[in-house]
Amino acid sequence: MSRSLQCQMKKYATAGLAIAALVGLQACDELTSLGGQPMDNTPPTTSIANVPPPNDADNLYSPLVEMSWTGQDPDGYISGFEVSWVTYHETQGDSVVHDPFVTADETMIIPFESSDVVNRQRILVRAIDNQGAIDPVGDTRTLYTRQGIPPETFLYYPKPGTKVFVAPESSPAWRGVGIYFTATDVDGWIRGYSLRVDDGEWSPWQTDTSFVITPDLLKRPLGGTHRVAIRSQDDTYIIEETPVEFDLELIEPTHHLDWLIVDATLDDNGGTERPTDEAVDEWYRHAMGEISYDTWDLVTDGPLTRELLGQYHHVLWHSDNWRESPLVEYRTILTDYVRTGGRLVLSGWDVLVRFNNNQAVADSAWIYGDFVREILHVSAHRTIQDAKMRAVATSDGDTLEVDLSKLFVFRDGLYRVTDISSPGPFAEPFLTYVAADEDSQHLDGLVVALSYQNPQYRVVFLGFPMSFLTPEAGRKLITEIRAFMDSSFYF
Amino acid sequence: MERHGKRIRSLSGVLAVLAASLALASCDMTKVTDLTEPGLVQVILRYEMPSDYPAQPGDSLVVVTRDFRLYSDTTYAEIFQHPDQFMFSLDSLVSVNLLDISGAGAPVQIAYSPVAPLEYDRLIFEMSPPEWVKINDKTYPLRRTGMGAGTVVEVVEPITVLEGQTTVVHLTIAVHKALYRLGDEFIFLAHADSYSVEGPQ
Repeated sequence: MSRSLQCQMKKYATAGLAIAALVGLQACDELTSLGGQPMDNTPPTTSIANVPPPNDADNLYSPLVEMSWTGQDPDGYISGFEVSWVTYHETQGDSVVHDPFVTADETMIIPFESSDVVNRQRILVRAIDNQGAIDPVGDTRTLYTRQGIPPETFLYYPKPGTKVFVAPESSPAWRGVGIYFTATDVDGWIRGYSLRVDDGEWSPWQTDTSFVITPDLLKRPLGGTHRVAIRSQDDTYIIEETPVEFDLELIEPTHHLDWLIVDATLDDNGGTERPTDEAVDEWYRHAMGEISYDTWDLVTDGPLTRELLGQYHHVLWHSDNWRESPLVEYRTILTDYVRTGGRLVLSGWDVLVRFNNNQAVADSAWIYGDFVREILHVSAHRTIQDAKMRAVATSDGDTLEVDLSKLFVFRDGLYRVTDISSPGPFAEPFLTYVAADEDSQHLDGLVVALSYQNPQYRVVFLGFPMSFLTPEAGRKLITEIRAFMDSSFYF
Repeated sequence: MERHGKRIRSLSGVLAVLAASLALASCDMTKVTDLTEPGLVQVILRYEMPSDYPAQPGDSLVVVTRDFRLYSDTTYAEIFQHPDQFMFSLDSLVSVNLLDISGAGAPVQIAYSPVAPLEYDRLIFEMSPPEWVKINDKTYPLRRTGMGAGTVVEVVEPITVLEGQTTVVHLTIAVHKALYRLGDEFIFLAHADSYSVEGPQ
């Protein structure tokens, strides 16, 4: 073999190797596949079960109809069904199209829209196979349904004629005016509720049976009469034709006056531990000192109204007779007042026990809230029956004496005092128990009054009748309370 | 014969070049770089509060920082607490008491470790608050915001890391903005009020 031929063969070999490498690289990227011609996917078929059987306008079904269907796919399996229907109102002459939806269920209870006397429902079901192909024909059924009975809405709160405070804007303490309602549907169940304020837009459907009207939904001025309407929708999409409408009376508190003393202390006979109304008034007059204030006696001046209460920045309420107090009846007004920026001082005998033992308070807590826990910020308490409270101590260490001359001589101190064993969050001890003798030293330091503040309101709660302190102690106590009300807080 | 030889030579040359180029194009080869060591990233946190802030000695708002990640688009590098932490298989956790008034304004290193030298576009880490906050000897419930999303701190800033050099990310958190009262509870919102990048150097 000549040298030139060898050289040429090497070159051929080099070129051959290069081609082989190229072919190999290309080959490694190719997908392995079977031979032959692939079959096209065959779409599935659908059939609707003949239950319930077709009916006519003389034999109407309920708007809720349980229907079943099935599908077959010769080259795969059924992954779902596309369901849609059209409602023809036979009397009214119009129709409603229900948008198609996809479901994997083969049985469903269909809530056919049935607002007319006779409603013709034409349902179309199309099977979908595992490759996404939809039955091009599908199966249809025509059924007739009778008119659904519309739902009826009832208003729980506010009752007609009720007036409610309103604040210029929502806050953590006051979200807005709460509206509570319910509805019934004799031939089904309630799908949702919607509310409209001052002829504005209807709110989106909701399942919650309460609604908070925030100030931005109200026309100006906020104070005055506002029109509210509530409607419901049942399970067959029938909307109540005549919504519940009522006038909402709102009062915007002005707080332009400083102090109001609400005299809720029962006028007694003037005997020991039974002070007269005049004696109690005189005690508060002395305690208030130079502070300008107005008074309102619930017995002589009549029921306290929101219009009056809303004018004052501070309200001092005293129920200093343990035999009777109307405080519980005013819990909603006081709650409303405080949440919209009012400041409350509450003094009384057995105040918390009255709330605990009142069934109406418990029954209405879902609307008005828990006055003791949420407004007074008392998480747990008990009553100290022992007549051993000789004085109370302030956080600064000052001692405010009980006026023993107002008690029977056999008592060593004030009795039926509330021990606030667990102040609520952000509540601070305001006054603590000072025991009369060594036998009752275990009571020393117990919290008998607390203060609470947040950026919206402030509360001082005293678990004993403050008018049983000496006049001088009363003056100091009011000074302490006023200092708290005037303080600034970072949080 | 001589003409055939020339044609064959030129054909074989073209084929060889074609094959080589196709082979290079079709294979995902590891890119070789000249890098020999990573860069270092240090994250420094300072917290501050206004002069009238009611914090006292003994107050407590201990937040835990963890899961530091430097992102370059969707690629990320983890930053640990110490440069050698990966050797001990330890989770990177650093606690900071944001109500410790003695430490206000002082730098606290919350992460420091090597990462791949790259141009990163943001830093993300978690700052988890406790369930309670202690202020002036009182304990209050503390709630997080946003179903946990309120505990993620994101710093969107170009962060350059160079080989063998250190890049420092400075973060400042204003406690009075991160901790606030809503009704009868405190809310904590993790965030960085200001940040800057120093280096690489």
